[in-house]
Amino acid sequence: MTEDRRPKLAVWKFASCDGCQLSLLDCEDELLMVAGAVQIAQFTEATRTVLPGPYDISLVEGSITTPHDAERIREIRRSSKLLITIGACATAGGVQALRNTADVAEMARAVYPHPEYLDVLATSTPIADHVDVDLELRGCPIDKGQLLHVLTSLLAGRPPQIRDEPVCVSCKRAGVTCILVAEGRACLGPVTHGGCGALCPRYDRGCFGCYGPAGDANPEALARPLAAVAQPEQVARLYSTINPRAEAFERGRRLAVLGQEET
Amino acid sequence: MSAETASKGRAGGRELLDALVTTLIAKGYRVMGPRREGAALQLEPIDDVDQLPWAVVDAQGPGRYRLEQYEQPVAFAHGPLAFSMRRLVSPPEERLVTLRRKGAELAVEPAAVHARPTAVIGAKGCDLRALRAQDAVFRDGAHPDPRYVARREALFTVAVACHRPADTCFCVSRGGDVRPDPDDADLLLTELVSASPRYLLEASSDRGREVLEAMPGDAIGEDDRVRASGQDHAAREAMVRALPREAAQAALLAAEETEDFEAVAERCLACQSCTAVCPTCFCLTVEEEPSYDGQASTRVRRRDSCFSPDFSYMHGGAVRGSRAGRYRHWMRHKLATWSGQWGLDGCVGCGRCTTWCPAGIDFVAEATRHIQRQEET
Repeated sequence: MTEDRRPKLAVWKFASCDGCQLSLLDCEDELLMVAGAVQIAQFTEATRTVLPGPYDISLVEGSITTPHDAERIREIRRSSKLLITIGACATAGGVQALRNTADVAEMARAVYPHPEYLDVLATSTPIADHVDVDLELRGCPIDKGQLLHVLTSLLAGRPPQIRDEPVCVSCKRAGVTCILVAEGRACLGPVTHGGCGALCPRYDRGCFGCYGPAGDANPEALARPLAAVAQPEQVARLYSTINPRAEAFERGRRLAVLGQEET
Repeated sequence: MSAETASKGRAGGRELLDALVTTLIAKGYRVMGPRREGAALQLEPIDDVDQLPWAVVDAQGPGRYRLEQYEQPVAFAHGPLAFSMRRLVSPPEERLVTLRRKGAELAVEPAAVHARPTAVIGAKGCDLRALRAQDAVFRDGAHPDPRYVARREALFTVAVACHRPADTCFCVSRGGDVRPDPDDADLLLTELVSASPRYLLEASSDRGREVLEAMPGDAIGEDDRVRASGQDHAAREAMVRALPREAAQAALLAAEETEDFEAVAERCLACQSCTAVCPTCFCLTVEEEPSYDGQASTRVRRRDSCFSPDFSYMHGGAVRGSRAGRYRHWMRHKLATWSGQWGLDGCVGCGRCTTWCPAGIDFVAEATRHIQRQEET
């Protein structure tokens, strides 16, 4: 038998809902072409096959919430040439990062009859807090078009072009009227990393920041416009929906709460 | 009807607009005009004048846009539409070419140019002047862009004289006027406002004359012209905003330091909305999209913006790393350095950058700050 020279692709899961991995399965027709170009070395949602490392591309979903996972991600990093995080959990700690400011032991007591069986960390942290990450794909879930672009670019031997630009850019490209300006409804688009193609605004809904902050996010500048159209609790909730512990979103939430205290 | 009669124009009530739409459609144009789309007026296809925004106006201010009822049953009382005609000639995204592997060869498949004959009814003077800026970049240089040129040639414009400028408008101070320059359009429409509006239509190109000749209507009378001129005058008077060209250019040329823009940068979201709605902005980027089977790559041209950190990225980093530096670049280019580059004005005074800024940054007020500082020193 001749040696399989196709790149090895592995998909890893940490604390997450599996939605981002499912985005890959969601690719359907395109997936067959991608699957033909790589060896699937590890992808529990798709196959029982497990091939040994090293891996050319590791896609990592989920955040680090247990001591065991903190060790496991280091092993994955050691055996991966490229490590790409997929989704809000892996990139910013996810919605479960709400626990970072709560009493985890007390929550465990409230939920589990035998909390002593749990071995969890007090925080939910992004993969990049533990190991070097080569590329981050944002979103809850990720955009399958972006994922395919990354995989096909890497297979073609060229760098993927994932633009760090806010959702406003996608709205303007699509010809969507600004919800914040023309309707006075709250929208996090101006501070949120694009890539979704302005999915929510195209369906007449304000952005709730599932891609996390854009690299150049300026929540301080958005505080007043948001305060003019929404209650402080609503703004705080928007910022803490999917990426509560992303630094710029934490600033946005604090500003909303501070604004409330001032009035 | 003789060319001489046509050159005198046409006058009539709402039925003149009906005839205009019908004639343009009969001549094979897709007709577009202002139309209510959700919460804003957009440039949309129309096939019936009923689709125009009758008795609807926009209230525009920094970071604010609202549609309101208007007391007169007219169709062109609104200010600049949410998006300009730039989208029609320079789409935000377009495929240029696909390169496909065919054995040892590389097949080159240029993307087809879709230049559908399109007539825009109600083109504002500001947006028509902005097309001159787009023309300078994409058509009139040493390397015309065939895609742009084809779409531009397919564009037929019916300009409209503004009788109710938006609060954000300042075209007169930029060398424009409420009455568009006829040379910028094929036909020029005047809406005489009253409970029963009257329309005047004049041709300023051969294509325009052809359309006019195919249309019925009265001749434009002397009293029509007196009314039109009175309405123009009142509209000019109503435009209280101003950003004088020479003063702004001198002040911005002097504002060389990034620090001069740090205060505004604190309020700037760098969301690129201003550059996306600006009718003279033209920056593009070209990206490659490899096919899923690895056998082809498609080159796509997308709108870009100097507010993006990636925009000035070169080997080793971005040239304009700070928001203040990017704001400085944008404002100075629009108001000061553009004219040296293209012999035109980079700002036509449509005010969209101010209306559609989610943070409500007032471009005129910011530039005026620089003018005042210049005068003090």
